[in-house]
Amino acid sequence: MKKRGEILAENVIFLVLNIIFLTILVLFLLKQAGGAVLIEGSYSKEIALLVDSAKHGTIINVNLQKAKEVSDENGIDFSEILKIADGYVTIKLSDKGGSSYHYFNDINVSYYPDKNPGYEGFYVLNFNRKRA
Amino acid sequence: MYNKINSRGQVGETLTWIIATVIILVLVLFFIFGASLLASTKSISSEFRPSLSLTGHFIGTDPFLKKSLFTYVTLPSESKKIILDREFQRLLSQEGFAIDFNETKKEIILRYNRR
Amino acid sequence: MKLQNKRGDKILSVYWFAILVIVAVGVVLMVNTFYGKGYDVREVEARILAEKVADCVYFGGESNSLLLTPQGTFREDFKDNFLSFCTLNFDPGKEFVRPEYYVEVNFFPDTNLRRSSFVLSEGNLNWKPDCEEKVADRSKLATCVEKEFFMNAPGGAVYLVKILSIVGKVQENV
Repeated sequence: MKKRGEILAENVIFLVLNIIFLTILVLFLLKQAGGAVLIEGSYSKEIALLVDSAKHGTIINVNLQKAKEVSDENGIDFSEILKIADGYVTIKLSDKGGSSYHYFNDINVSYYPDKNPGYEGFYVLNFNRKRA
Repeated sequence: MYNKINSRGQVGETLTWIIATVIILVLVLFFIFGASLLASTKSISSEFRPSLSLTGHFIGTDPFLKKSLFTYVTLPSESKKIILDREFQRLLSQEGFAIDFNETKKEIILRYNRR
Repeated sequence: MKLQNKRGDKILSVYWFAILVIVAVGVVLMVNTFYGKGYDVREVEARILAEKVADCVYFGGESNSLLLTPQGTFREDFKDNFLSFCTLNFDPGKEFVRPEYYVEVNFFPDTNLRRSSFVLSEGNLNWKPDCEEKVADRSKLATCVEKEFFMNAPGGAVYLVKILSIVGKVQENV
């Protein structure tokens, strides 16, 4: 007697629902990992520490390519994501976001996006003594 | 004639599922604990990893030791040098330094004599 | 007579749903536990502060001329201008907010390494007791770094300089 196996609709639906569930979990994980909040926090601290260690005459090139990707997605212009003023380094990658970190070095910092070809996503930081 | 309903199979399945749920709960709690341990590694230590390409011992991350060694080589008094040397040995035996003390001392003496 | 009891299948799908919920909640908790915690950079920050103060006091084998006279005496006015002379700014720039740093420099002469002959200090002194606390989890306390080195002073004196640098910033780092 031939017995053919049947693909039951219930099993197929069961599998599809499980795959959807796993996909949602993975997407959630990836969103958290590449989230603006995490990147803002780590970049603001990293740059604040760079400012703290810098001396008069130092020029530092900072790679903010990851931040640029997130800010581009959120419609923030690259030239506006970094602000160094009043003793704080602020990184803002979305309209509602932004992370600030205080630095203790009393130094003048001038900063601008690097315009050289191949250096999109980089910022140049120039450090000079404050005038009395 | 009545129908005999054998439900022992259903009870067996339910028990399996309860045990599976408990195991999954334990595993999930274990992974949450693991995630919290990993989160504790987010504390950035001040001990930087040395460059893989550098072979010299002099280049390191202990500017305080270097200042002390520079004081040592510029001391005019030999007796003070001996006292300072003893202090270095004491610190070396107690806490150690972030970089190789003997190599750094040799290098600083060399550089000072060359100037 | 066919025995068809499908109640078991419906009970099984409830269990499966419960397991899915447990796994989903577990993953969300794991992600929040890991990504919800910020990077704690205070140890590096405190060390950078200590190094900056050390360079301000003694650099290139010479002590700061604003700190010590050519005769080797400490200048008292260095205490009042410590932050500006060492290009430091502890001001948080916000009202009713105290500085998140504290730095203390003690100078011990080689003739008496137990008694400091000159002290410089600036910042929020309230952070200092956190350094004495002996607890397993120090993340909610200020981070303290203590460094020392020997300094040649004009006039032939040698000083042991001990620098205590403290960074608070608990909210931003925990």
